[in-house]
Amino acid sequence: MTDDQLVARAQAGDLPAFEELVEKYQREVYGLACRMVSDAEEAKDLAQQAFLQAFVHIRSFRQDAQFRTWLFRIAINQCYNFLKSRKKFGDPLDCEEINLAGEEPSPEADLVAQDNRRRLYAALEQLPAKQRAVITLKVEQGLSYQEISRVLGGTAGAARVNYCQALKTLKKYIQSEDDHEVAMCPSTTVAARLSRR
Amino acid sequence: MKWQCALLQRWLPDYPDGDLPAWGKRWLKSHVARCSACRQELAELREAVAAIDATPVADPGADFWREFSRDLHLQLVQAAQTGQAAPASASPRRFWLPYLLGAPALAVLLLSVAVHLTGPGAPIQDQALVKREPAAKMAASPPRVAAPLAAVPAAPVLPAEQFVHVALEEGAPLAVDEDDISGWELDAELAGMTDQEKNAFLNNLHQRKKDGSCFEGFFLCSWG
Repeated sequence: MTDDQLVARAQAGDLPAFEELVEKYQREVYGLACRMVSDAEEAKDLAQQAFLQAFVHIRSFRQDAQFRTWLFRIAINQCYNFLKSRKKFGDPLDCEEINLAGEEPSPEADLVAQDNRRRLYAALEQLPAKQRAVITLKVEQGLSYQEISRVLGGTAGAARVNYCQALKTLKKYIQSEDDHEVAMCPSTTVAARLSRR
Repeated sequence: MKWQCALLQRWLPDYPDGDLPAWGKRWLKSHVARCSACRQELAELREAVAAIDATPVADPGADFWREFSRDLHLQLVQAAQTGQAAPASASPRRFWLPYLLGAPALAVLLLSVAVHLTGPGAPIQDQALVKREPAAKMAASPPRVAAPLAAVPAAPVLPAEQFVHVALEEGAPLAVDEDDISGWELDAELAGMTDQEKNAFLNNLHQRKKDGSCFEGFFLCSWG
């Protein structure tokens, strides 16, 4: 069944149809939230909140846009609100405690992957929220600039410039994380990683 | 950085694809082939994308998604039961109807209040309207002295009879205030009078000059 049919049924009050949409997009929304807030538990809550908001407002959704981009827009807004409240009331996230570990085939590979993940999330944390969103939407969700502009607002050209700037800044932060790591902790792992480049 | 580099580097993240036209893609390709700075920039952008691709968001596992679906299902059922779902698309239009009717009603109310405050029985009179009244009278009567009046077109001028009448009646209240007669030219006013009127008017002025209530050598007469 297509998205349009499922949305039409959900708009008529069919909860199983909406849950089918949830099943279809829950991984993408959760991944987006993970990249935005760098915290698995918070990402789960934000993804659930996004779906709940989508369900509450499903009847105001006009089918001139894709349901997926509309859902991403809701999720991004939830993440913005969370980041705003965390910046105002909470402590900044400690990148050493990022709880996004995956399952790697071997302990050594797991260690390297965790290290790469930690460096990437540390660099992402330093980006402005909008640049983080545009990188995630483009690289991971594969949205076009036109679709990104629908999610984040603005024009497709602005989304392209934002994406380019975000990649440059991210590269700079990853580089500075490497330099910082070499200066503070010249371990064999870091040396081996740098020698591989 | 050359201007070409600054112009083209915004398309580097999508190189060699992107939404450039064919000639733009050819231009970008030839520029990257010969510009080392842009090649370096392209390599760094690709490295950043590769870093993101190399660390995808880990799948939290089946247990996580079961728990996720169960929690969300409970929330959705609760929202459906409490009627939190937004009304259908026709309902917002009904919701706007009172506002659409209320706006004209508010406009009518404001208009009636404005008419009540500024109507004919209002205590405050418009000074500009009061001052324009003699000018309207002058426009209705034929001009007696055309040339001097043309020199001062903005100055309000009374008919000569009224002027003399005011001058002859000692102690009578002034028909016009000082602002209205400022800028009058005495010769122009005298030119339109008969000899008797002229004599009476000049005698009156001389009398006022002796009293000190009229300036000597005046061009404009002050009735203070």
